[in-house]
Amino acid sequence: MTLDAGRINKELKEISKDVASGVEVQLRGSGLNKLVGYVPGPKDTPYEGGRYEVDINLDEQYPFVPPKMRFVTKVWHPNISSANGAICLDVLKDQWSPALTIKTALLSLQALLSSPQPDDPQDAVVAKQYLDDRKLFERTARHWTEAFAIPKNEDEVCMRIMEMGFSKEAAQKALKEANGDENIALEKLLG
Amino acid sequence: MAFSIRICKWHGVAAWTWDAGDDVCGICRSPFDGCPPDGKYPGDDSPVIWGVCEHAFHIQCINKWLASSSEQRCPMCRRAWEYKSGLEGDQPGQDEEDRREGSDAMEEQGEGDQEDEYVTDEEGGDAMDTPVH
Repeated sequence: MTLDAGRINKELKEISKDVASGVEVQLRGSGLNKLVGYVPGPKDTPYEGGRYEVDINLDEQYPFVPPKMRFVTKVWHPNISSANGAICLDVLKDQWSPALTIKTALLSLQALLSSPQPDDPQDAVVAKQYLDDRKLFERTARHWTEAFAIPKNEDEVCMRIMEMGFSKEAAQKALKEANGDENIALEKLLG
Repeated sequence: MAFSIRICKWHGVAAWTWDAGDDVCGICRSPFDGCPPDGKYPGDDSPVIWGVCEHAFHIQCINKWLASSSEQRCPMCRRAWEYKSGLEGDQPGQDEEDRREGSDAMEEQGEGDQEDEYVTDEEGGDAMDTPVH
């Protein structure tokens, strides 16, 4: 059995056309079996504003077996291992169906971020905290989101300056001198 | 010696399509009128089969799913999968094999007969391809 390239290509095309869902998928390399997905953290949760990278591996039997998914971005959640990103979600296991897709699986991950299932934990420590001290759980989850999942603003500013044709070193140096102010940094570079 | 033929004009006299209520198979995402990934020919070699739940799939696709899953459920609605009777028969795998044997026999029959050339070209043809003598 070989990888069903036709179906995977169709899925990739469909995801790239659909911007509304917010999930993204890209090839990791030249093969169709290693992909990377991005899931936006849902609104009104401690994960809001985060951009979660998900490692996706497709078996040759896909879509007759579920895609293997794992969070690369660190996340504090009862059903996601805080150590290695392993996910406990029924549709990625025994509830998988070949009518589901990579996109629906990523949307399921987003739904999982919105509604943790502490009774079926992947990370017992997180699940215990979720049940015992919800306030502390939310603070910790938010802290992890800010530390690991929210794209760094300074990186974005640096990228914008680099897009104007300056080297990374020059952009970083100018930003440092300008205390992070983009306009002052630009004036220094252009002046 | 090689010939090349240019088709200047053609008249379609019939067309076929699977009336499956959907364009693509929910498993392989290929059109019902096309082939699943391991199918060679569309049409009778890649038939569409219905469950009692009215969901349709390429026969190869649903059979592969049922063989790979411990629970025999429809991929669309998760109802227990049961072939809808009165269409392709209750044992579709068997059915398909019968047909293939039939076409093999036909090929042997047609051997050496110039007029039957188009039948012998079609490896996976079925009863509908039988030439009228």
